[in-house]
Amino acid sequence: MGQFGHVSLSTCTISAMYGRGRAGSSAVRVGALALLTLIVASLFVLFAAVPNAEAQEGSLKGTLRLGRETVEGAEISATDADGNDIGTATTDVDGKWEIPFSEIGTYTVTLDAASLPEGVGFAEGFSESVEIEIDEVRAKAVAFKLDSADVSTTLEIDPLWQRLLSRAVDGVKVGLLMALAAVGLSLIYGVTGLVNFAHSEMVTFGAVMAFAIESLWGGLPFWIVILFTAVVGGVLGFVLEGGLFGPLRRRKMNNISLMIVSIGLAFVLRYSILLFFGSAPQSYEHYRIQSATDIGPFSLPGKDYWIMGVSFILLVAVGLLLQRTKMGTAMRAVADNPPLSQSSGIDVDRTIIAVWIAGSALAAVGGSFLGLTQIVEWQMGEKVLLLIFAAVTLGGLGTAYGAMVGGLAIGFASEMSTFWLDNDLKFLIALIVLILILLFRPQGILGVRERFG
Amino acid sequence: MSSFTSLIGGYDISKLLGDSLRAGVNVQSAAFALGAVGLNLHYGFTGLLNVGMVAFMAAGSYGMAIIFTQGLFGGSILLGILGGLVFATIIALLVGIPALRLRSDYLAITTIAIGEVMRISFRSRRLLDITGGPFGLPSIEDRSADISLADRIGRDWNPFFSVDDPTKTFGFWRLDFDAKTLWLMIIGWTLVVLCSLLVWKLIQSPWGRVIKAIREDEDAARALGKNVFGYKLQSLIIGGCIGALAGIVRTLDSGFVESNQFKPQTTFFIWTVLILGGAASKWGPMLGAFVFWFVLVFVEEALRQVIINADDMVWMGLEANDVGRMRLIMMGIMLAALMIWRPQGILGKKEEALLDAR
Repeated sequence: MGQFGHVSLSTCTISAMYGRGRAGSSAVRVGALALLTLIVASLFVLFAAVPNAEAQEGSLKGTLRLGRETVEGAEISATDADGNDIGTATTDVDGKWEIPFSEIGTYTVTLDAASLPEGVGFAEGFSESVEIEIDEVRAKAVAFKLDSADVSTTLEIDPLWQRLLSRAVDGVKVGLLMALAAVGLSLIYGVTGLVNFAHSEMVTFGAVMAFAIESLWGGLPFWIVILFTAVVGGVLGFVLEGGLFGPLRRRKMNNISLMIVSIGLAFVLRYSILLFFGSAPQSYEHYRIQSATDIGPFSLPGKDYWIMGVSFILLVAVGLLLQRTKMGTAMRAVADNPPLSQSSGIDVDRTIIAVWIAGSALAAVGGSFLGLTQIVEWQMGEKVLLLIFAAVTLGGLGTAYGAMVGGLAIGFASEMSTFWLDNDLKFLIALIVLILILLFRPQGILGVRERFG
Repeated sequence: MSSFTSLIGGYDISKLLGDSLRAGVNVQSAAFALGAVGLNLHYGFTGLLNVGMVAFMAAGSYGMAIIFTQGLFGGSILLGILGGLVFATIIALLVGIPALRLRSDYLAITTIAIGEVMRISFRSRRLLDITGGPFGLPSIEDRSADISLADRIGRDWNPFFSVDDPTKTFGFWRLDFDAKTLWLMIIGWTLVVLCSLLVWKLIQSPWGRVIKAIREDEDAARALGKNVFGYKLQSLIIGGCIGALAGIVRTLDSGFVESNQFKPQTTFFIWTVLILGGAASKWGPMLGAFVFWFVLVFVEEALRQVIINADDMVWMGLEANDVGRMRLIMMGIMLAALMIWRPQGILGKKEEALLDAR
């Protein structure tokens, strides 16, 4: 497997180089082909090598403590999202308890208050039930906050460096996915001047389509699913530009009106997805449950390594495409100055269509990976919208490399922040970064300074 | 009250028309009209792309509710409302100072961001004692004085409320409202009219002429020595405070605040209201809110009745519980279609409604 993967990887680099040497007339096709080949090749390489996940159970567990004392004999039960009991446990001499589960999802863990020692209750604001979302299979600690003379929480804690490391790895993963999603938004802004509020829905669309394709043809290898998703995402981009934004732009509609149209479109897409997909979160058949694989100091489910690998390769591929192919050069030229590139003989409309197709396909792939690491649900795009916007602004609106850097930075910073802050507050970090960058470097990290008001 | 029914082939036309009209004039509609008046100043007159109106509404609602529940300033409602407006001003400054110096799309990104961040922060467990965290403030009451906001507004201050007959309703047909709703409708729509007039007066003043000049050509206004940033910031604050009033009216009506009331879709409802009524027009927001709610409820109710009357209660693959989702899809189509074919809405002027990107 590994050997084969290596060979493919070199092929895809060659195809990108080949595109560069071609004549200009078929630049669009060659560019698109090169990108497609890259996506195919890299996906094939990586997913072909992933061993199929062994179903392994995870467990909810914790240690019940009161100050330094452990609490013995407390009864804890867990139910799944549908209210079915999945198990009960009684804390042992060391206060430890464990309830196994077999599927990822949301569980409600309840600590029976009556089984607690006399005079011990719950701290204010904490109830006896804790809802916990399991998005990857590993032992998951559950905290109850008890109240009495000496109060304490009950988390099972890995050594500090290990927790920091695992946050950092998660940060890189989320950052890569944000970068994948953000590149399209930034490129589309670059070539058309449109801030596309429907971009987050293109991310959801990718995740949902991957789910649909997977359930329609069960047993399809996941890399083919992702490939189809990329194609379907590209088609969506083509339809949106060819059928909606392109004609409107030719009607001389300005970008502010188009932005409002994209807001309307976002609603249509989001709630159509809700209509067809339903509100229940789903997860892919493949790689639903994976045990952690240790590589050096890292301990991650196998899929995470592959997600990071493929995302990275895709981003490098986009970079190569932009630098080395005619199409990429045309994209950069149009982003820089549309009238000038038009008069230099670049087919601006075709370039814009190509950007939409590529950007949308990347967003769709990003979405399906996001669904693979978390869950697939109709609101998932909306949830990352803020991060994507912050990423694009941080990197510099309209610059592809900026979006990559911005995505990585925002993803990393927001994930790392969960080490100190509540999970929800990671969005606060994105906002703070956004405001700081607007105050001090509005053109973004990689943007070119232009005159602002 | 009297109600006549007119069933035609299983369709309840009376309910269809009555409920739609009711939605058009209800407190909710007034609140959206107020929000649209504020947005009209932002977008219609100044050309500011505020896509986070809900942040200002949240500032107003939470500001008032927190002051009231914490018993600050003696738990005064009026001071609570003032507090909400101050909170909205702070938000406007926080957003405006970094983003208003830049191109308009930066303001769009920043405003949608602050709306979401406020919603997420308010529901954080760390603020449990202040905002109620994920539970919100289910009944807004002054803990020290033991009085709820709903009671004070709906009973103590309500000229229509009588202790003898607390369930007395006013009106006829499907348009009969209880004392509290009627009172809040009057407050809400009065505020809409007052704010519309205020905005119109402002726009006709020298200040307003500068504002419109900024909308038309920011660089030209700057070249004439106007402090464009300052004017835009003032517009953002004034419109934001009107938006805060919209949130306050809605909270007075519902009697509770909860973070889910401030999802981004509320902002886009308000946008649709404004574009529908006509941006940069005097009474556009007011008319827009009425028409918006009328149409929304009309189509929703019609769809529901069609589904109920269809075989197996399924019509074109839609079931009864899909209707609420269809409403939001419809709103999206309405917003996009208006922008494409009639950007000036019902009352606006086309030449004023088409802003150019800056």
